[in-house]
Amino acid sequence: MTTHPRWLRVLALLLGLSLVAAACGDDDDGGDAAEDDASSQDGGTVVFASDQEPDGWNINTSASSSLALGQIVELVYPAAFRITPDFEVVMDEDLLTSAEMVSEDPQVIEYVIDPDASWSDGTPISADDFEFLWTMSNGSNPDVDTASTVGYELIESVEGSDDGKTVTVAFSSPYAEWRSLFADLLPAHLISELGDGDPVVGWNEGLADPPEFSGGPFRLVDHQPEQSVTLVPNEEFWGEQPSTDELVVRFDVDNAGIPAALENDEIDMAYPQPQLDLVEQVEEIEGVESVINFGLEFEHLDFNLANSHLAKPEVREAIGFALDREAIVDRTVGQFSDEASVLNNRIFLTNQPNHEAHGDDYQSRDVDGAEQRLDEAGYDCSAEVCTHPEDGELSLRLSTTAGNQLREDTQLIIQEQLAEAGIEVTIDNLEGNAVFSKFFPDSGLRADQDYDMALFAWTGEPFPSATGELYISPGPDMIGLNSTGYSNPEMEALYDQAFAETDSEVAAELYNQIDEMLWEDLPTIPLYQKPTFLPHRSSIEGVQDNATTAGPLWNAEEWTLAS
Amino acid sequence: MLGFVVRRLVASAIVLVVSSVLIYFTVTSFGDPLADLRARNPPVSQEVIDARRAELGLDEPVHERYLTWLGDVVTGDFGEDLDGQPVNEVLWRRLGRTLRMVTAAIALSLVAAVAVGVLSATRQYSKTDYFFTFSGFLFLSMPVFWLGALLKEFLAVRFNDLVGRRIVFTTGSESPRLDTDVWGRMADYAGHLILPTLALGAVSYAAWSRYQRNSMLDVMESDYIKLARAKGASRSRVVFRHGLRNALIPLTTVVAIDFGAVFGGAIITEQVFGWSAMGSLLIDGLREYDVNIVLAWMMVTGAIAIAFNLVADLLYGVLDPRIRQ
Repeated sequence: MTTHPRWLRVLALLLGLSLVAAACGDDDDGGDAAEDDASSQDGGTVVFASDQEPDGWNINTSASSSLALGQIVELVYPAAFRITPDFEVVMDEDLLTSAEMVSEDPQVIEYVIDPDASWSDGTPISADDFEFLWTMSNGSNPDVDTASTVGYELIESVEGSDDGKTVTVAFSSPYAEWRSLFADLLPAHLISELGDGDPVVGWNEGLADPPEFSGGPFRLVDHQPEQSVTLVPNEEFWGEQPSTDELVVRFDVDNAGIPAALENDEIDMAYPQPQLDLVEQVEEIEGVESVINFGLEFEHLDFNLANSHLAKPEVREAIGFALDREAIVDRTVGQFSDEASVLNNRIFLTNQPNHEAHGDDYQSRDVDGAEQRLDEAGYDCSAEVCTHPEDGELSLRLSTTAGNQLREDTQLIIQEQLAEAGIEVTIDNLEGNAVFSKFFPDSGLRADQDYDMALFAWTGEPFPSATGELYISPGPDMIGLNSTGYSNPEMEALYDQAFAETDSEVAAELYNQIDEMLWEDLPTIPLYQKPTFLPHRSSIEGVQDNATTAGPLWNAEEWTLAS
Repeated sequence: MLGFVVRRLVASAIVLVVSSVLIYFTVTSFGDPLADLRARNPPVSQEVIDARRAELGLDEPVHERYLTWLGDVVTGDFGEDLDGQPVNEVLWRRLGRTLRMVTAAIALSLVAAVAVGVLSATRQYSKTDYFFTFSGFLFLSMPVFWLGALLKEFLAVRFNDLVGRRIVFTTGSESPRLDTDVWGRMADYAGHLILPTLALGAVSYAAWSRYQRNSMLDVMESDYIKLARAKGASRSRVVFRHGLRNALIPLTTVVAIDFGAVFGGAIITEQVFGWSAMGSLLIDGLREYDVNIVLAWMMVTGAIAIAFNLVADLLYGVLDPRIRQ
């Protein structure tokens, strides 16, 4: 019996060696953030599972800007205003002591920075940082990668006084949503340093790895690529210190693996796209509570107005009549929560203060009405599928992201409902983001679009002006983000008026009028808001879902851990 | 022998280049790497999109881009991904994780398969044999994600509860903020390896144990075994020294050939256990139409499959002198 264990020994040795090699070899992974010797203490650590790893850390660039990144860096980068769970835009009282419009025409805003506010290297947060963000974001330098120039391009000057603690921002034309500006401030002096003296290089490339600096309650310490990033309290923060020792954001938890990871204490909270079985499994775990909410993302049905059928308003109305949106909600998001409802406004979502339900004509299903409309448009509906003498059978493709269960379910229900009104729907999906090239082709030209009806989501905004890009025509042949090709000068004039309206109540009224106009012309039909799902260990006190862009970590500095 | 190896290597290189051409042109013609940027909300301006196009070299003709890529790869540089990060870095990091899982799974299933194969063959048609046959077919037909869910519930959550310590992990290849000595690291890695290794190894174990059983049965009925017995050699000596040694030859080549398949099959296992390794590299690469990522995956996976096929051929000759003649 002396011979056979030899190969066993070799195998055991190989296995052992691979472990040792891995254990030693991974040493160099963590070197990119500030070294931090504080070993992890239990009791003070919260582990959050995120489903997306940031691919850069300058949220203000188009290359890195993402929801997931924004939800981490809001704990690190200072911002003038924050968005609360009830969609209110409130001044960040840590950073500013006041922010006021001191003149309406020309519009001038005066920000007063807290005298103690400083970056973690000791440099005070000042007007220089406001000015830097403006210069980089106003689109004046084509070499700068900017996520959005909206608002910044309207600023004429940013001036500091009072040792840089008072910032005076003057606009060239009125901008109603000035509160959306100066979020995610960066330290001008350090960004230049990261670019070896060139601020543009520092801005575009300097934050490939998490920054060592912080101007918020937490700082980033340990980024393990593809695995996790850790936030620890920023000792230099002038406001109240967080009571947790460590906030670990993990990127290596599959959605389906969340229940087991929660149960096995590997994570403490997560924010997955809810699926029915996931929600049910999580609900059974002891010591874990979960919140279901309705967030900013809403699904909608878009019509390509270049399609000869869909160009006819009667056909779009017929589709509106033939759809039973209530049933769509019941059979999709309604399974998660009784509070799910049909969305009747494209600009203000149900949880926003200015929400008004529009689209009265389309509240209940009316198949006869649909057939009548088609009849008026000259369709012959005696066969199973209606036929137009010139445009042929009323058969339309419906495209959405394959693999997205919620959308595929919705699509099937739409197909079934429209079939009853003589409208044939064929399914034309592509995997993942690929389908967007059908709606927004590479060339940016209307002629290259390849879809009839589209089903996807827009992310709603606390700042309604952003919706302008979705419905204003960028030119007859261009798409921009207006995937339907809709154009209505009357509505565009209303948008212009709303952009410049500094009284937010009057602006809200204008936006609601715009939505009513969209219901009149029906280039799109809103369906429902997508649910958010936030399971978390009950021992973390203070967790509150923020279904706006701010996300679940928005108040992490206030969390406390019950032992 | 050397001539054979050289011929095989040249042929393999040609295969790799041809497949890289096919994949390069498929990925670049089907997808728009800027789709993600375009679908952003708040929207990204056309200037930004144009700038990204230029930066990524998307304005150049595809064949030129391919040749640039090929020129770099020959020097061992897989280029940059869509975010401008070097592909090499992420590739080697992820390859290390996948190899860790695959090596452990193969080692484990090989040991188990040989042991069970020998046991089943020497006790053919016994209850033990039937039990292992049944369990083998069970593993063969069980989907990994389902097996994974079972393992997580019973071998991780309940087992850890039972011993009162978290020994077995359900997600990731290591704990975040692992800040211990080499031994602590190894324990943590092993704790993360257990479930994926079992899940990934189950299918190969099942197949290989059947294979080993049959090969063992063949050998045990051959004349030289009968002779050994007739000589009066002990049972264990006959089984292990005369029988197993010869019965291992076919399995060795099967394992070498299967290495590529296990490596590819790890994609699902990695997904189930949240390992950010080669599998998610491919999936993300395909999703974003990141051609450099997809090709890096293909080249490495292809090279590994080819290398192990070559090893299989060579091993056969080494282990069985009759082949060489």
